[in-house]
Amino acid sequence: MYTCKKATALIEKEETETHSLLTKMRLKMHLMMCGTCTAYKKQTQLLSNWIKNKNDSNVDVAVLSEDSKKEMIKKIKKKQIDL
Amino acid sequence: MKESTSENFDVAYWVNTYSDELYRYAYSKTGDRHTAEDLVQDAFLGALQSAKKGTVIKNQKSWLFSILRNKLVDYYRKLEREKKQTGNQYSEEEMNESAHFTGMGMWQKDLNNIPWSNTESLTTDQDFNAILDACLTELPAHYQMVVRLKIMENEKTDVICQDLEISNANLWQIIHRTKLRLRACLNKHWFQS
Repeated sequence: MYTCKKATALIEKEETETHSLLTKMRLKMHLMMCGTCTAYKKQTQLLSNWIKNKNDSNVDVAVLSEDSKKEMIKKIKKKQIDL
Repeated sequence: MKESTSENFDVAYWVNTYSDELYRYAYSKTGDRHTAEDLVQDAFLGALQSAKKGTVIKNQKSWLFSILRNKLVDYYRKLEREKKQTGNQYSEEEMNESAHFTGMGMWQKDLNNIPWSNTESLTTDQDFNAILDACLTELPAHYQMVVRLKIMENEKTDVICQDLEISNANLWQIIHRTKLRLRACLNKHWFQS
């Protein structure tokens, strides 16, 4: 019989990995009897979704400002002399 | 495509041509604008160094990306090695599973049985997102990096393990601990009240 600690660790891994048939069955048994872990399973999926949603949608269009670029060119040129 | 050697290494041309793409990549993998900018600059310097050594480059862009990727990995490893702690972040003890379970591996009673209701509208709820942000920033830096790579960027597990120099078991433990901690944080600051 899995402990809740073990069951929740397996639930995490289940999001992207596949468990063995035996592990799946034992986890299912645990969930049938444990309301808190069943709730945890839903909650951790929600958490993943919320976190994914956090991934700054600006990332795809992020650019360096012209000033940053000028500054960068200056810094690199300065260090270029030291190399 | 022109070949690069130290003689024709035109810094301004390189920065103006490639910096935005490199920056976007670094930003998506670190979630921090300043870090991303520093990494891009380091990558250009690294490129310059190897051009000075006489390396002949066929594809400038992919060459720059490979240098940037090395710089990123150095950055991850530094985070992992230092396990940097600032005042507001959880200690390793607080991150440990035992903060949530009894010695027998059962849930500790107090904050674990709070139902999550009305979750559909939370994605767009500003107050909720502020709480979630606060909970995320309380995670130690290397946990935050795993959250970014595994959950936000959906990076492959073996790539993360390789880049961060951690074992597969270690990665899953970090994810488990992170989720337990975030859940407890939201229970305390959102769902309980």
